[in-house]
Amino acid sequence: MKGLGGVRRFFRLGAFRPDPDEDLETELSFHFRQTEEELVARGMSPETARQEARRRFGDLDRYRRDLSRIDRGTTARHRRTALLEAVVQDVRYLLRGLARTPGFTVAVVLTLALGIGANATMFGIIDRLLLSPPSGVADPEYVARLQIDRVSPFTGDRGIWSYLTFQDYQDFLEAGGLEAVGAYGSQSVILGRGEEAERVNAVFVTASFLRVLGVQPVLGRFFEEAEAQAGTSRVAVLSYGLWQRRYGGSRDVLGRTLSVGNGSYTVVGVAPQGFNGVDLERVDLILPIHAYTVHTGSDRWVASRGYYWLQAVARLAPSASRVAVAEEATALHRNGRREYIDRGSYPEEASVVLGPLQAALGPEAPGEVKVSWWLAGVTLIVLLIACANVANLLLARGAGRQRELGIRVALGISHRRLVGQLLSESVILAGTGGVVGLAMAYWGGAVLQRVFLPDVPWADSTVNHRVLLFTLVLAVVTGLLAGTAPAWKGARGGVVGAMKERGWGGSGRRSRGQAALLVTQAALSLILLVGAGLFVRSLRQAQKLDMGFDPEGLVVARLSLDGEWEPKARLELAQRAVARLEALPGVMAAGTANPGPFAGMWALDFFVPGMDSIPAPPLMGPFIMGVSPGYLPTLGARLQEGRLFTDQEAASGARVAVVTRNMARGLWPTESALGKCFKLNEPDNPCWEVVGVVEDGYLSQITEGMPWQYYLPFGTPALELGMYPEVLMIRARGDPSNLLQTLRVELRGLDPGVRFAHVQLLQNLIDPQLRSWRLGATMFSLFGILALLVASVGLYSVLAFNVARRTRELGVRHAVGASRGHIVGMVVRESVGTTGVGVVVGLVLAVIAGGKLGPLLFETSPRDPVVIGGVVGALLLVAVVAGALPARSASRVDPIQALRSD
Amino acid sequence: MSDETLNLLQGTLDILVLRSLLTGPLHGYAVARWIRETSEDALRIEEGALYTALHRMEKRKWLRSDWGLSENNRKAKYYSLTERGRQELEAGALSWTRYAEAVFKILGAREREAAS
Repeated sequence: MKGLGGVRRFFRLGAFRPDPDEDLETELSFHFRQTEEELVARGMSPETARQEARRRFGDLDRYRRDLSRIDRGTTARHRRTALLEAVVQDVRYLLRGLARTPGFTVAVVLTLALGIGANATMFGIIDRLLLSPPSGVADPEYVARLQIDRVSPFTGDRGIWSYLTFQDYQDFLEAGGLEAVGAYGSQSVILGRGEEAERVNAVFVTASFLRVLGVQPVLGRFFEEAEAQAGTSRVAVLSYGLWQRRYGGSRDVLGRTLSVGNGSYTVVGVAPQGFNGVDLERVDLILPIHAYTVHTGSDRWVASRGYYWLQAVARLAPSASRVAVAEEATALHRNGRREYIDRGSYPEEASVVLGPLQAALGPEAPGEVKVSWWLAGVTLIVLLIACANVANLLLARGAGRQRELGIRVALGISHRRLVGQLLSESVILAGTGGVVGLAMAYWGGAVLQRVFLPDVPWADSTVNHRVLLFTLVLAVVTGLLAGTAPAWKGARGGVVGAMKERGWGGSGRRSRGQAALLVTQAALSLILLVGAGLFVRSLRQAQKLDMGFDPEGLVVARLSLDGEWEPKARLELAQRAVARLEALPGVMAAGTANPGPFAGMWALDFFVPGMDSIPAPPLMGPFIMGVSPGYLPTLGARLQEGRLFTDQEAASGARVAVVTRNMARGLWPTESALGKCFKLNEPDNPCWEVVGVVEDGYLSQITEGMPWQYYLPFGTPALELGMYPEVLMIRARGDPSNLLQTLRVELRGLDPGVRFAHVQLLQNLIDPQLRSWRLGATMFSLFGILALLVASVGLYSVLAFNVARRTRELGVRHAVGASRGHIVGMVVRESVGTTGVGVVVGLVLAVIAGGKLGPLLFETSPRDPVVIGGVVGALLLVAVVAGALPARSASRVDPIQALRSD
Repeated sequence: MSDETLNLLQGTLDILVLRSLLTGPLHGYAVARWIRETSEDALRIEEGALYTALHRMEKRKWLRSDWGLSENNRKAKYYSLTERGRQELEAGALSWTRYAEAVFKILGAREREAAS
């Protein structure tokens, strides 16, 4: 037994993990033997010597315990040092190895950099759009949006409040669990006059809004409660950006008078840097909520319950329960709408919820945000393809290195350490790829935000510390993902395989792992390419979309007026403008409208006599639009039934209306809409009579399906509803771009009260509507092509590698009479077969994912046969080429040469 | 322990051990014997305490240890000074000497007082 123990100890000597207690026993027994021998040599009896040695040592048990405790700490430390040394040594070894194969290293690093860079870019954007709370908001976790949990039947949006409703809530909720409740509405306005005038984004807010967000001014002050109240609220706060850009950051800006729209305001403060309200759109100017009545010339915005234009935010008391607050707000909401609920024109179950502060997380997320989510998924797929590729390259490299690995195993490197080394290799490669990818993200993100998200203000580069951290984690995970299989295989195969490496290279067939990776790549590429195809098709569809009118040759003009204009005076001014413009040789026709095209949608409470409630329109509404008699002809709206407005009707104030075809069909499916009556705001208001039906048109936003829209002529009844001319629509004769300057001059000369005329092509307003499809089409295509490229390089390199290994086999086949074509066909069949399996798998996944993608597409089926057929064809073509190239060179090999080669 | 033997303070033992290693690596038994012989048996140190000091200083990296073979071919654990150990020895020796000098001065002062 003793001998065995000795053998055991011998093997432990110098091992990685010495046993501290055993070492201690060895040391102590040596001490006692030495002491006893010395004492015996001085003449003591062995027994006495033993006792004397013990006595000199002291309390053996106690010291042994103490020593053992000390040693445990020491060994742990030694172990760490040893580990560190091993790691440093391994890394050095790896770097030397990578430097020896620069081609391989560059290929892998670039592949990973593309994958990681794409992900870092998208993460930067998603992080800014969705994850980060709006900048400048104090303790954002206590701030929530107050939203209505279903779409209101009267507006296209949810979470939109009228000012009076909001005020009811404010008083009650601030008494309850909420510290403050604030509201805001956004609108673009003209700042300055004449040459200096520019269009800026204003947000009209309650004084409590800034309190809710916990923002402090960087200069001056914010609004007092009284200043935001009704009356003449003529104060303004500048955003930091506007202050710097337009006023050079001068402190004198306080007290300065700004002319905004048709009012003038005194600057009282400047908001802190980065503060941008709670939406993604840039904010330049903060005005008190009542300034909106000055801006629009109508006090309905704050005096009527029928005008929904505000969003509400609330700050919760730290102790408040979200559930209780929401319940209380819901009770309030139902109470306030009791009358409508009882009448059946408002759903009983409508409730108020506390939504996330990030607008993009809410249901109102713009198309670009939704597309961004998809793109993030897409970049992940690109990364997976890159991983598969790198794994394949590593496998191939591992196969080439078997002999080297085998020798190292034989020299006594532990299996674990070898796996560790191989894994560190892939992690180092991924890390380098990550660094290169970050550089890509830095530039790529800048391009992406400028081109596709120009309305979102970016405080700084999309690459911030969160992106850095994300990239770091991603690089490590990528390295492990790509390296695990090759490392495991390399270390396992190393022991046995290495020594017998050579000769016929086994059967020369690809390993099952490699085949699985190729199938995965093909499947993922197919998904991306199908996505790209669908978006490109959507964009095409949207571009050639029948708008319901002819947008070509149309120009939109908006006047900015000095002083306060009665709605009636604005109507007269608009009529003069139309008359003047129509006299110009370059103008074919002109008309006026409110709201203008792509400038929002407004809805009023809508009643039809004889119906308890109107059927819910597919896209909400119905939406109101006031027009001059010339507006619909100017647009080129196609009349379906009845007639359009006459000048006489407008002048006399007749209550007549034109509705869109969808609306006519929805409300009166079985009979003609002509002669029918509807009422606005209150069920006992006078009738509006339908006199005409026009083709549906995209006037407010481009979505799938058409919203219900009705047109009222500008006259006294429309003015009473707050409808006065807001924009001019002009149809040019010939190229409209030549007309813009003339129109500006003419409109400015119209009246001394005209301060500024904003004139642009209608197409400029339509383009942003197409942005989300353009974003999807461009990025999906980009990533799809990237994926295809990476995947085909992967396919090619694996096939080429295998063909090279099979040189001898192919040579023999050639020698025994297989034709060149036969050999090429064999390799190509293999390539196409593998790709084909991937294509089938990818098709199944693409069809499943396509269902979810549907809502983001435009009049394109997610199973569009042209797109799917084209992509399948393209992938198979790639497979043929990737197989044929190496096969062709292999078939040229001289059989004798092949047989001779070692 | 008899009256003649001196009790040692912890820090002092450390200095003695470090000093014993100044000439080269020694195993624990040799350190104990060196201290005993050099002090001419004046200091009696429990050898357990000595080993505790060795292991503690190894943990602090004042010493390092290696396994080797003793004069009579037995496996023994040899201790040697690290650079830090050398610095600790210098600092310890200096402050111990100052301490001792101070004590001597005080002991000497009483006589001068009586003489004047």
